[in-house]
Amino acid sequence: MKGKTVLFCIALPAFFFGCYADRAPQKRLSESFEVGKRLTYEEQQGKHLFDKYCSICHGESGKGDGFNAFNLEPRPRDLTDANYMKVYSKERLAEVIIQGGRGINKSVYMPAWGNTLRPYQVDYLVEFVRMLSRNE
Amino acid sequence: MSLKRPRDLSLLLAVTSVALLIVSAISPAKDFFSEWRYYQKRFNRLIKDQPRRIKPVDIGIKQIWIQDLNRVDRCTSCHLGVNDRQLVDMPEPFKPHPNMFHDPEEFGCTACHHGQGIATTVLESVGEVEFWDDPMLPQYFIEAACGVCHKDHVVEDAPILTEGRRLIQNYNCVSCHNLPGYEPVFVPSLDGIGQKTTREWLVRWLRNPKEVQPMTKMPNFNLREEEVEILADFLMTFDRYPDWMELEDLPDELKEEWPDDELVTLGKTRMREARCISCHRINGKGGHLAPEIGQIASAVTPLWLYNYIRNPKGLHPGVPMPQYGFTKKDAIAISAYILSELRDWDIEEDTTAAVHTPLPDFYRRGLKLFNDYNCVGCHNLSAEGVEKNMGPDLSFIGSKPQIELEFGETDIERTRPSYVFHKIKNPRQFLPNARMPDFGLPHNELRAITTALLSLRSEEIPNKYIVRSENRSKYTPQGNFGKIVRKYACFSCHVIEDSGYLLATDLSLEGSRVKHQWLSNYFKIPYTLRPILPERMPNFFMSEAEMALTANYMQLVLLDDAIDSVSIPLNDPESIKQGRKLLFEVYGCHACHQINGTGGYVGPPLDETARRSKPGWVYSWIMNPQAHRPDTIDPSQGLTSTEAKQITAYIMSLENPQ
Repeated sequence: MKGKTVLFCIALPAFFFGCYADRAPQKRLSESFEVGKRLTYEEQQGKHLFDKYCSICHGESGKGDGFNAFNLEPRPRDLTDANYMKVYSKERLAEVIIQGGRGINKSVYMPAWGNTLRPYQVDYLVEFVRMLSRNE
Repeated sequence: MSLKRPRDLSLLLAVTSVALLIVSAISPAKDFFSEWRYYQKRFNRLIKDQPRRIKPVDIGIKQIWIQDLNRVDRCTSCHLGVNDRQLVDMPEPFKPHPNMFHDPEEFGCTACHHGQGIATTVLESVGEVEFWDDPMLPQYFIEAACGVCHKDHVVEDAPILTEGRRLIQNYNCVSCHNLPGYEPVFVPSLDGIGQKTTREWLVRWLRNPKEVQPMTKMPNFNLREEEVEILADFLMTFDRYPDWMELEDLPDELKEEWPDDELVTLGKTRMREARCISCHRINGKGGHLAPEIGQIASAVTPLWLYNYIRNPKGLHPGVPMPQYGFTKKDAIAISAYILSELRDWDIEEDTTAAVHTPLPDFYRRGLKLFNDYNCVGCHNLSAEGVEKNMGPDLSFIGSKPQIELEFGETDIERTRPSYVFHKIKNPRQFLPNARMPDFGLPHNELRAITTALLSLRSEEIPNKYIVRSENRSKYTPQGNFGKIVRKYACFSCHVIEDSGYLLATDLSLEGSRVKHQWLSNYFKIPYTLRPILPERMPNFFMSEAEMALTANYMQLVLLDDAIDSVSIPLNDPESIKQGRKLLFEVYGCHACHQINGTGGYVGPPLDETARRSKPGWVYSWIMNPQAHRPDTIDPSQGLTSTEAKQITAYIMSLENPQ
């Protein structure tokens, strides 16, 4: 008899717990859509902008080997060079993009994009450019 | 089991009471141990380590209520740092939101992210749960949310959505599905197909169009061999061109098996001058605006080819191909060149002269296939019994209840985005009798189209949130200029006002942009101003009168007085000197532009500008390139008016030796 009571005592909470636990399993389904390198939303947006505005000189992979790079001396910067890029903070990179080469006493070949891109677009680009040297 | 003794009963009572007490304590306990309370306490602990003093959060559910959108969002109960850009180093869920296009106080969170705004547990709010009607939109397709309110085809800052809408238009999805906001595109009519092509080619084409032309837009219907044969027999019965097509007889020169060598050489030259490969691909080279023609001679009959070159719009009204001003001899020569060179050499050898006998009821079965696969959705065919047989209405696919999506036996995740994605990827995997053809799209196009489709939702949104550019009447040039614009299909590449396709120059202000002298000569030997553009302006072989009319019209009508009236110190040596200094030493324009043989190859050469452009235009352009062409990559340098005038003076002083 005692055993049955104990059983009852166990079964009741178990029943309530069962009701609570009976729910759909949690899955991160969207992961199956991700292919290759995982970019954050900002990096993705940055990549679109980079492809359009920057890749012609800096190259699609950022190595400084774009279509127009070979007409320029000094050559466009290799943005995948982690050793060089690590000294640039986010703020400094944004400054380079906004003011161009002349704003930081570097080659005037790099134009100032501050009048063309909006501040948030510059932020996207900064995220993407930082990603380039991080993964290398 | 028997419970007779009072001791047993009282024990049972005691146990039940305790159990009841525990049960009734669950609710307050759940509240006390709730996830949001945990996150809020954690947030308050973490902010103590921040260098800046941040106000601790008052414990309690946070909620944004947007009455107009009928939304109650409690996301900020846990996402406590959403508005504070300083908190980038905090762990999730306290990180700030990346650039926000809409104020959450005004739009809430679920307007963009979808999902259950009132949920307060991780699973119910951000979990992607199978079978739910409206879980959060996966970040992979997040731009679909932009498209719910932003109805235009081009949405700034939503490149994937914009690309998806372009692709839906491009692949003519509207021919089989009801899709609001999309228009059908030109697809050749099948009237007279029996005289246009051969049965052998048609069979190969129907088996898999992409095998014949890898870049074709026509999808693969995965027809069985028998179906291919029947459909080919059915289509070959339409061997009479409709009466309105006025065909010329095949000239004698083209009747021989191998045309005259001299004629072929002339044709080759004319084709190169006409720059056919700006739009057509030949053996892997050329544009993508029109079908590949590297093996066209094996696909079409000489009579059709010759007549099409003579008068494309006469055979296919509405075709985007320009009507070249070839002489009759030129047209014969081009046909001769195509017929003798642009063949599929492999197939010619295989062709055996086996006689084909169609099945007895091929017409009835062919018509049924034609109707079943809704061929008429894209291709017009004037025959009795042809009827439309559309696919599902996709007007609201983005909010179609999960329960109505048919996944069949597949193990694909039961969510709406994954359904749409995998349906386009492999259209017949869910149901055995599905008709949708295989477009063979790459992953990025699948993603873009899925994004654009998910933006089609049924929820009612108040008008003040909808962004749609005004539906003005489109610019349609009239009279002789209008005729020229239509004849040479200018709007296939150029834009005037809001008509056309922006591939080449926007001609809306062409009269203010270029000099009359230059424009008059340009049509004779057109060239490409921007060296990196793969599509080149063709030589249309326009008549003298047409060239003069076009140049005059542009110079008289397509103007902006504000641009023309800017005064530039053209002959002032000091300004020119200053301008030169600014151009080379400050703004580095030669990084992208050629000047006297040095510099980059991105924009047009600047030493040709003086011959072509008007000074007012150069000034106006360098002051703000994006004002004249929003998608240009020429950076706006923020020049002062004086600087811009000096640079213009220098550019206009450059003489091109040519």
